Amino acid sequence: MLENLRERLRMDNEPKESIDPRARKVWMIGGAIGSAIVLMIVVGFFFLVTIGYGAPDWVGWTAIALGVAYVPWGVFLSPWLRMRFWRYELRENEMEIQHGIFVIKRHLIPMVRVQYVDTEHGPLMRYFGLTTLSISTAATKFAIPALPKQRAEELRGEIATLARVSEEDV
Amino acid sequence: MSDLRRQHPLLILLDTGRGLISNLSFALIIAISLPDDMFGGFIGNAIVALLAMFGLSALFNVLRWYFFLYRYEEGMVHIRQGVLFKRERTIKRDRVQSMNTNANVLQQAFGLVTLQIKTAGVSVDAEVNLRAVSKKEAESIKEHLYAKEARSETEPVEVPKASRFLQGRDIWLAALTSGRFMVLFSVVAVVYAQVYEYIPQSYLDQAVESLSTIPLMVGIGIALGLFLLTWALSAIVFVIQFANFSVRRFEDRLEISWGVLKKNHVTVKLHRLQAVMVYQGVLRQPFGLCTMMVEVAGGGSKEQERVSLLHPLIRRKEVEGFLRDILPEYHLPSCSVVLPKRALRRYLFRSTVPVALLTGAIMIAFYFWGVPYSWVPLLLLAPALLLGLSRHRNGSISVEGDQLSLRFRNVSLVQVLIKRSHIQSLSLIANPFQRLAGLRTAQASFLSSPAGKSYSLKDLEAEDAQAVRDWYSRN
Repeated sequence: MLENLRERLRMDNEPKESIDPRARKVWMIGGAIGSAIVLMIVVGFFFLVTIGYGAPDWVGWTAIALGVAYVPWGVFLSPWLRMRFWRYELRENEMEIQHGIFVIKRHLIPMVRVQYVDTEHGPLMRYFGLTTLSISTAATKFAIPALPKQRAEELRGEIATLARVSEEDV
Repeated sequence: MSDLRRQHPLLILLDTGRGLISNLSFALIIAISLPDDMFGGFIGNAIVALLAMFGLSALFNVLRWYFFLYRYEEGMVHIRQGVLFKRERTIKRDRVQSMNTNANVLQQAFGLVTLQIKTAGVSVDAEVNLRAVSKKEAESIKEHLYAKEARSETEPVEVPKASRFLQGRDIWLAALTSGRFMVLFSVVAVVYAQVYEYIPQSYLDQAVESLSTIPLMVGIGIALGLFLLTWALSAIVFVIQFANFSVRRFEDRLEISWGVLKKNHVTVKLHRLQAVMVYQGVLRQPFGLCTMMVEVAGGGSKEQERVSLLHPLIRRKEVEGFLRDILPEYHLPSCSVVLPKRALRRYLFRSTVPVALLTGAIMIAFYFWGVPYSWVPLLLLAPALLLGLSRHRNGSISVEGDQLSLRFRNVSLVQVLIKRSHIQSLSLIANPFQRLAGLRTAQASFLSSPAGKSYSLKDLEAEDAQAVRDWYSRN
């Protein structure tokens, strides 16, 4: 029954490759920083509103409860779900990307539509040796976060070569 | 070939006039802030402030006109402008996406037009905007930018492959069903209410006396009269806006023109055309009337520059023939996949729940304030429910040949036709509930400057969505 439910919650024909598992660590650290900020805000809210303006206690406590509830979500659940659904696959004529936490999105990008490919990395990503690869068409932009540096550069090269092959009119 | 030229000096007047109206409030603020005794009271101050502003802006516009020079030669337009900061710009023929002309009343009086040359540039002002050139000059510039090779004089003029005009018989229906109708009606009613006071009492008494035997009829008569008056006004507005509409198809482009007071002429190069859209407003749907639009890549940043009118008013059953004549590259789908029954629940949920929450809140508020008839907001639920039903019933998708057709309703019913080669990327989207129900949202993105645009259809059968994806896939 549970297995069946999990099967139904998956989108079939998932692209083959997952992103680097270290991505989860990066997201967890990011989530921890975010949680800390949220906690600071709700505690500040508690002091300001209940003690400062004398609002009923439950208002402040509700805010704190919401803030505390956010922590497991931000630190554990959402990085896990993101990691779970992140998939990509480079084929000869197209790239397929799947991502999402609740709402799963799967994009199909034909190579002939690719305008340019970038790689970029923030400080946290760089610490883990990870790189974000982004692919732009004339209308849309997609990013694959957290690829090992070398893999990202390989992919960028491959996509750039494949993208040049055909010249259909935009 | 031409030397550096200036635009017609009328531009100074046009700019000054426009600037003056927008700066009127500014002048009033200055007038108020000046000390009272400076130029003899508020009126004096206002006049002086206005004159000063007028003088300044006229001076500025003279300078701007004087320093704006353009030159065109085979395949190029060159522009030099700027009073203090000089800017030069050269636009090559290959980069030109579309050229439009339009003219307001004042420009028409002097035989001038505004010529806009648009390029594919992402930057908002990457275009040429000549606001006062003679009609002949505009034609000649267009000619120079169009001609691939210099065309000899003896060569025959290009004949359109097909052309269509607006049919007069539909104008009355269009007027009745235009969105402006209700607005106009209220304006007419307000004007009537104002005028009513000035009708001499004796005359009114007499009129009422003679008609008072049938007082209900008087009311109905007045309402009907106002209604007919509005209808006529609305029709006149529509005619002024769209009269002389014509669309002509040439080998490589569409030439669309319309309007009386403001004449519009739009050239759409076919290879820039990204999508065709057929709109049916709620009021026009019962009469089977549609509006057709085209999405063009490389227009300006404003909505009306990216989306061009293709036909202001056409009968639904004539759309097919119209496309065959003017745009045979596109067709209406002969059959399409509708949404599955189990998607209806989700459509109803989406359309009614926000309304239900809102009415709930209003009713609670009404109850607390003791407003009578607090159940009235509940009536809103009926149209919301109908809208959800209709959205579900009208949603459909089809892939035939190299064309994707989407039909969906927000309020108006919209049908979008896109070529496979114009879809930049295709996405399938599903939230957990959609995944449990085996449903997908399909979304097609295409180029529409400055950024992309996308159309989507919610709650397709997963297999149908997959079929669309496979159609788009090149592997």
